[in-house]
Amino acid sequence: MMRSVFAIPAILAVTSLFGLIVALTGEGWRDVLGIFALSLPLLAVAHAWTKASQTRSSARTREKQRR
Amino acid sequence: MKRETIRVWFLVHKWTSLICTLFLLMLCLTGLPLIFHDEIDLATGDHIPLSGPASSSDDPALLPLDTMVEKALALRPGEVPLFMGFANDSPLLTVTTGPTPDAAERDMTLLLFDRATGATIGDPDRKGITDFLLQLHTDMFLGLPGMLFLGTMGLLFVLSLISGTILYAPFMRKLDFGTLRLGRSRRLIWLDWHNLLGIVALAWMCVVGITGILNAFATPIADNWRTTALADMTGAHRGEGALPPERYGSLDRAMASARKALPGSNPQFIGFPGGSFSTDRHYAVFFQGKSALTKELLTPALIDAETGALVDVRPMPVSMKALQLSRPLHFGDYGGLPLKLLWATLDIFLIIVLGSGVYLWLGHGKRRSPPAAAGDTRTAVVPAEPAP
Repeated sequence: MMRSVFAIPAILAVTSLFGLIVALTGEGWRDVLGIFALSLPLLAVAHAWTKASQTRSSARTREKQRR
Repeated sequence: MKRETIRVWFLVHKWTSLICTLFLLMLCLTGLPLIFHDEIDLATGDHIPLSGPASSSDDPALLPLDTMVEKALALRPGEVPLFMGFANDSPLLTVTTGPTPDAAERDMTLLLFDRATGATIGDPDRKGITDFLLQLHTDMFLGLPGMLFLGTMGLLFVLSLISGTILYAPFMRKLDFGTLRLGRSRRLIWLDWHNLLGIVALAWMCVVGITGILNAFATPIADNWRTTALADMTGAHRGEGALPPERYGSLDRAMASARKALPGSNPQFIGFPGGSFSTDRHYAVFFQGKSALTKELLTPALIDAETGALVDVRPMPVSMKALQLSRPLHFGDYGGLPLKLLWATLDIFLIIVLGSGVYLWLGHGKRRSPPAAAGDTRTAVVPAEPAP
């Protein structure tokens, strides 16, 4: 149970830390890699928000159809 | 997790967060523009770009360091030099002066020069908006006590991150990652946002929190280094008393002997005798490494200020290295504009986590009001049933 709750957060934490460090220890491609890794948390939020909005709008449509 | 355990962690999370929230909010709001301090200074005219050889190099077109010290002291008669700072991308050179070698920070004057022409740049008394924000962010204009206080708030913040992560498990036990119950009560929506933004930005918040604490305790860490490692480097000279400023020898000769010991490296700053980064009798020249990582890690070369002879070169201890690496990791200024934008977004995430946390706490009393207590799980904000 615990494992599944923390699975995605752990992946995001590890990639964020990796991104912070890889960009600090070099320039050029390391910066690009670091920035990509550190943007994953933002993408996760964007994904969650899109999904939740879709769920809500489809729920509303269903409600309207029922009426 | 047992119900009792959850309750304890909930109390830890509530109180550590409540105490530090207001200050964390101030830090987030002042920190947000500070991420872009280079861009702001450039736009407001507080930073004038210079062109020419880097002041940290030994380019023959640059003026001697002794000349620069003379120019600074001519502007601040009767004062002594305390620090000299170098730039790697322009001839900008800073000289900090003060009434005495051990002057307090508030008595210091920072002068900016173009080392190629010897001209002063800007008005030393003019403070830009980012200077104001940085001061507020660092110590709230309270000096060392303010720094230590904010460092303590940082410690509480890290504790609230830990307790919040532990509480994430019971709250999310029956929910998928990233669940946002948008159609439900406002309280539940904010709880979901609090959990989602808090958990995705967790690693970043830990890093910025811990490096912020290290920066807040920079003064005691540097003091400790000076009285232990630095004192060790000068072993033989201990107890000779402070060298009076009129007997300071040539800075250029000192720099030449330091460069000989660390060929190819460039200095970042010089600590003059009596200051917090040197001893009473030495120039301490702090050299930058050459790679992206070691650029942040400084190596001090101690030079007898009177004779210009090199005394010792030794890498800094772990505590000082950690302090130096904690600066870029706190400011997020090492990966160009894209990294700064990420830093800003994550900072906004943290502001939302703080705000929603306060919102959830303010509504806490209402949770026990009859409708919610009567089994209306739509509005109640409670963790899922503890695992048997």
